[in-house]
Amino acid sequence: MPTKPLAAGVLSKQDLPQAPEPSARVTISGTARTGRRFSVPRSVRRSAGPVGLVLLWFLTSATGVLPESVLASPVDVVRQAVELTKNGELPSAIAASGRRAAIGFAIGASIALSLSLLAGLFRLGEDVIDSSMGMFRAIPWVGLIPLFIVWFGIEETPKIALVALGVTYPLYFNIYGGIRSTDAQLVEAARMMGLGRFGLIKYVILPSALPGALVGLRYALSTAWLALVFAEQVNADQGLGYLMSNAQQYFRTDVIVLCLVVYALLGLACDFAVRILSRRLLTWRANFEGEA
Amino acid sequence: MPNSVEIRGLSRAFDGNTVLHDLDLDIRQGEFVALLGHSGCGKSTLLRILAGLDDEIGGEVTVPARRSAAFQSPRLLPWLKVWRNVVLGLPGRPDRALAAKALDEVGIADRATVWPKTLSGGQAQRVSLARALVREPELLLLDEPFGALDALTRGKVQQLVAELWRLHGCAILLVTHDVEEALLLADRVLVMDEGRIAHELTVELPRPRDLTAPEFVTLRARLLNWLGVTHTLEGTPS
Repeated sequence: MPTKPLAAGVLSKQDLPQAPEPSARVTISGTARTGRRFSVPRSVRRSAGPVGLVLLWFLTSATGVLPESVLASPVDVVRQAVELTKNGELPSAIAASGRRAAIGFAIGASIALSLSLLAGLFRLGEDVIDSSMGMFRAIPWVGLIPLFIVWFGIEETPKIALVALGVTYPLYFNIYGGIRSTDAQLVEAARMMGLGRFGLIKYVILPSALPGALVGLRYALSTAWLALVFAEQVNADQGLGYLMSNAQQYFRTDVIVLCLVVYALLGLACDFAVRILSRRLLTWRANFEGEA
Repeated sequence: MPNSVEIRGLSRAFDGNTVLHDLDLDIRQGEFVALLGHSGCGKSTLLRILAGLDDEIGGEVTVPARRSAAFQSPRLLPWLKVWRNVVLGLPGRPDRALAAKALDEVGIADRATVWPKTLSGGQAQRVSLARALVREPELLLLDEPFGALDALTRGKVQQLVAELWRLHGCAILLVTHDVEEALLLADRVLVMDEGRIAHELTVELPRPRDLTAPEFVTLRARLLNWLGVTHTLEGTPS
């Protein structure tokens, strides 16, 4: 095909490649504040929800929309709290429950610590322990209450045992996982620097398992209180659970709510303590839970 | 000079896959040897064996008892303050003054009491060098210690290593894949290929060495040729 020589000026505008249409543009407007504008502090905004709910609870109780047989008014709950504190019932119940939680936690934590160290540090321990723990974990531990009653009777022992059991799993799996996730390169470097087996465990393996262990501790403490709630429903003659099941018989929703609040506060206090502990122990981690 | 390292008939296989073949190598006391080679040629395996981290070997290896290492990543324990990292594993109580002296030597005495996370890459690598040198090693093993650093920092740390070597007089085995780095620092450059020392080059250029000197360029071309890099490349063959 012969090519036609192009004469200058023949090219019309249509022959030129179309210039791209100017596409849509967006304006990025600045949000940086120049002056100090009024804004509600974050803490106030965050507490607005819970405070509003309590207020709603109070209002519905006061107007009779929420009958006392369903849920006592917050005023009654507070009054009960004062009264039961004065006559010593609530403090002694908290002490009894706290004792169970503490003993159960101590036993569970010791078991979890020894098992996780054995399984984490030794191949033989891993083979023997870890698969068994995996198997036992599949059993819902709350379901063991009847068996514990058969074994330990209805006194303190089954309650403590249930708390111990609830504590063992989260601690075991988190510490074991922490030990096993130790950076092999760090172990190698530390060995190169002359650390022996004991030094390796002390300076490398345990510190690197610490973050995991603290996560496990948080789970374990909340599980401890949960286990206690279950355990204390069975034949307790003292403690928060006893207070609660007594109240149930007399339809005292104020006392029931009070006990639930106390359980929640105890759980929160434990959680707070672990968070403080974590912050102090894990200062070496660059972005641990953001700013204080 | 008597030998610091003597390797006779060294072989190492991973699952039947031989990585080191009947390797012989001597390193004299105080000698700076660079080991070049492509990834997977066995150079890091050799270094790990010399470090005592791998003993499933055939053959015989004699190394000084006092030896230490610095790796590509600094491998500092994040939960120990910098100075504690430096004296980690030394017998007796952690010696703060000793750590301070070692950190001063690598130029970061002021960072002794911070957490390793707050260090820059170059600073962390300096701490790693201080940790290796505080043990007064007769043999220092360096496994691509400059590999993860940016070009500017790398130059400074290379210079630092040259100075420290002069100061301490230990034998150094530097594993690298940077031809220029090897030529700048080493007395002798070995090229490894398929588990053997394939080539050997004694570098007799006066120190400090000039990258642009014609002799340097000639040696570089020869090494690149041995490494199988046919055309001239700026930078590092990988």
